[in-house]
Amino acid sequence: MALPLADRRGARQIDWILIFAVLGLVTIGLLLVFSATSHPGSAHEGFHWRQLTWFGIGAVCAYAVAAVHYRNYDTLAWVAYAISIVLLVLVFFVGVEVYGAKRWLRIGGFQFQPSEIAKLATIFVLARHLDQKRLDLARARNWIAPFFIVIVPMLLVLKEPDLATSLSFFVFAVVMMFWAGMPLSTLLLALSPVISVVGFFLTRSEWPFVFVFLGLLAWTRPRMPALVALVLVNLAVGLALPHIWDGLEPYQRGRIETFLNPGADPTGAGYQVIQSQIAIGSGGPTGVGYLEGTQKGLSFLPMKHTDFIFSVLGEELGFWGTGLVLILFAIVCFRGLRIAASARNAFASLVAIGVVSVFFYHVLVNVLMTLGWAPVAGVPLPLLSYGGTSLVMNCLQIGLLLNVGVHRHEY
Amino acid sequence: MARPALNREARNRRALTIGAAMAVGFITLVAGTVRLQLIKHEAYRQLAEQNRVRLEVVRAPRGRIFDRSGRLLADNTPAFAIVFRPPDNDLGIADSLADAPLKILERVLALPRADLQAVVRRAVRSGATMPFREDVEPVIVSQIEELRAELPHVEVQITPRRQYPLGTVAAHLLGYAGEINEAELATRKEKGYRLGDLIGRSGLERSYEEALRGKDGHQYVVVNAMGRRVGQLEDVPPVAPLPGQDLRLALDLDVQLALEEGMGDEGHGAAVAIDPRTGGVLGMVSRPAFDPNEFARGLSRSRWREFMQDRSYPLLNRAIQSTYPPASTYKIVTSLAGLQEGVIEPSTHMPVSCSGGYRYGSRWYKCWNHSGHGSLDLPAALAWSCDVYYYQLGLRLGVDRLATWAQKLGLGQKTGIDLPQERSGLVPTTKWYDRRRGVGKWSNGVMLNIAIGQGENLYTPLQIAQIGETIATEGALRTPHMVQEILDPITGHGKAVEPAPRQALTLPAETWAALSNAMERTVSSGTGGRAQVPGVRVAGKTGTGQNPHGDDHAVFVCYAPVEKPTIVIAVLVENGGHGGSVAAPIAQKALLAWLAPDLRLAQQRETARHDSLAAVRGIVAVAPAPADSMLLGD
Repeated sequence: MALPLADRRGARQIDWILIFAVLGLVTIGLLLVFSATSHPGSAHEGFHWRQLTWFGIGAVCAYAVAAVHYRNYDTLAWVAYAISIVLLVLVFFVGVEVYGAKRWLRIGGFQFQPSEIAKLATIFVLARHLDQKRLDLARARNWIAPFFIVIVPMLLVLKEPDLATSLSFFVFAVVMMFWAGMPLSTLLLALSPVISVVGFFLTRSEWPFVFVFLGLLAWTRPRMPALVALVLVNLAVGLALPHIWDGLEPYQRGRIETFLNPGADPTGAGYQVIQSQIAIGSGGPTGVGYLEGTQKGLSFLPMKHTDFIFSVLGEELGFWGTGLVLILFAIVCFRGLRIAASARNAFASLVAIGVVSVFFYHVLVNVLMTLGWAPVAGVPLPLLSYGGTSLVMNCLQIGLLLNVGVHRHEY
Repeated sequence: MARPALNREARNRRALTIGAAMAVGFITLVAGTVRLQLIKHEAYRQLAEQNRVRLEVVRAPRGRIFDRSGRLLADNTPAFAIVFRPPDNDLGIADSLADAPLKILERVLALPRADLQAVVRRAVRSGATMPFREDVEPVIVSQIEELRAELPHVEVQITPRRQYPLGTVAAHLLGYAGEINEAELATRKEKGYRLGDLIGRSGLERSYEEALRGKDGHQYVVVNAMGRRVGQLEDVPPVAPLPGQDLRLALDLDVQLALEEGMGDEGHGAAVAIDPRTGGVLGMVSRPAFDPNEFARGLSRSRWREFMQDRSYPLLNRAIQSTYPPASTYKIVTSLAGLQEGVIEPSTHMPVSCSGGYRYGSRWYKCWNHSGHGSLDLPAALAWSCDVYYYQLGLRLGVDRLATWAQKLGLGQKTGIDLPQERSGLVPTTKWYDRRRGVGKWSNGVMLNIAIGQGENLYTPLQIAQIGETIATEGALRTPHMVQEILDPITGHGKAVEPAPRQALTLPAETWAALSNAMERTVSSGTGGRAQVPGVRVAGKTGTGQNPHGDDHAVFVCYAPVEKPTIVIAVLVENGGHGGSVAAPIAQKALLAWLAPDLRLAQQRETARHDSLAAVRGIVAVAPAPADSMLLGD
């Protein structure tokens, strides 16, 4: 087993820019967790020390993951996948309930989210499958196996319920299929029923989608059997949906609406978004100053050190702070993309692009939420938000990227 | 082993696509922060500096209830509470009030200092608003408003309260609505109920809960550091509450008041009036009564216990929730069963003529008229209520054939009226006797009792009214219902409720006429004479229900006008004695109110001792007219 960081050649291959960006983000995160939790009367005092400890663990994991050649993970992928499915099922029975959702498992005094582990394991299995089979992904029958690989953990996570995390499965699966050779047009057509459902719930109307669908058909010109199948599936979805919707009891509809758009619930999430906007907006260009934030002390943000950490950043450090953090996130994402693109080994490349897409998705959804442009979804901001599982898993994924980067010239 | 590499060029193209997508994402995020932090910074800075935003729920008013001509039976009135709203921060504010505000509150609210401090402590610990005093007088409200500046975190909260302007009138059918409790909240949370919401607990308030309750709105208000409102958040438009739907009942307040007056304040029993053309309930009274306003205001624990321990069960709607022997009114059912089964014709005379009683086995079954009726045909037997005739008719029919027709008339089953917790009554069958007394342990002698409506027959007064309705409609019963229309509070459009008739019986028109004539004779020259109305043909049947626990129950059922009936009335007075002398006069008042209001007024002036009624009428007169009464078509 080679320890790439130990020799000088390995050290040269390391993506130091990525490492520094990550270190910068973690440092800012620690400072913000301290600021968000250390005001007098806080119920979370000392959380920055815990977060530092988690980072220590994360760094060790990242080093270990980076040091062991990814070839070894290839073989372990299915084992990890099986274990994570078992854990997700366990969550149902012995999970810890927080805010009405069962997302956590407790072992000893230690809590973690199996969905975070399942995400990585699924990326591995999917990468392995796509790499070994090398199938023509323009053909629909070759989508069946990937579909089942992803849908099982995805549905389990959705049932917790954790819509946002389960959507991340969808995101990396789509990106990896594309990366493995699925034509973009085919991809969009295959997703058309999904787009149709989402479009219906957002607009309560099928018409916008009909035009999009017709446009897609005109662009791709699929063969006749595929064309018929697509039209039929979309027609069925389109006709059934309003029917099903009307057949629901009003409170069931309310549940679905709240599920898809928690911001619609006036007593809960909508309030947080407005308060988050006020915090960010009041920061202005330069911020009110580190530890000087006034809005964070108010109880409007019960998750200010976790999901709404970006709001604290916006208030205290202003546009320079948010700008810097967004630049650091962009660096991580684009360095990750570069690693994925440069890896000669297909498996490694697929894992890298999966990891990058999930990371980007989380940044996007979380920051959009704090800006009030996306529903309150309960997604932490990677590397900044307080939370052990998330931080350790993110460090681990960065370690994976570094690993792939070091070995990028190997086949 | 090295596998063939992916097509590098294709992958670079894909990397470019993904890179472009990520770039768009990041540019969006930067644009979002630019918007909030550079463009709208000043607005948000002001909001953050001196103000905070708070969500306020705007409660939707509950739907009102009107009688058929738009007279108000239930509406809402604002109730004021003086509350303490703990500040929204966790900076650890002191959980007690300073001396100055305490003194003011002590004086204005007339509460001891310890109580005030306890409320503040509870509010700060729970983070929820807690009331010092609920339902306070407007005087106190204005005093608190004047002293607002000196009372941080103290607020006047307005909550809608249910109000029943006529008090005990129609209390049982209206029911009452009160503040939702923890247990109800736990089971109904998914329907959007919140703490402090009103919920219907009985009567129409309960059965039409879905229609009556509105949908709360909300608004974001800007509050200053003292927790005072300074305005509304402009970015987020308020969501207006959707008021609940109004109910227009089939009920006629005049009929209702006549029945209320007739039933008096003492005594127990029930009276029901139905429009046989629609099945709409014109009036429904149960005694003893209660005042739903008491429940709407909230009962003290001791008062609640009083209600629960009251052996006269004032909360029970006896019209649909108590069952009684129908007594001689049941002879109508026995007659119909005999005719339908073909065991008699209207002209049939029974073999044994009435000599004041009938021997069956070794027992002598008496007729109520000890001197005997002689030999009668069916109409005469019904008009004179001859027991001996019906003993023999019952024996010809047998328990189960009579039970079958009773069931076809809807007896022994819920009528399906739109009120909660209706009882189904009991039609005894051979199976029932076998189960109850054991196979072979009962004799056919029970048949004699059933045939004249005594014994094990038990029906609600509403079902007894339906017995009369069967003759009035010539067998075409309609499901009784309280609500005539559900009115949309915004458009004023109503959705009419008119259940279809269910034709249970098929008899020739002459037969119906014969029965109807017999019942008309009961009123014009028989036991029901006290239900006569000048100028109107009234048909009726009296009954005296044997009661093993005390005095007989008085029963009376009638309808009018005979040629085209528009009202059916059933009256039951517990321990009242004879139906003709006690129950019939009560029905007469309702008949007058419905068919001859002028006569009734004259009668009132004449007797001039209806103080209670006059008082009630006074309330009706001063009750504010419903704002949209023109929508109700009166």
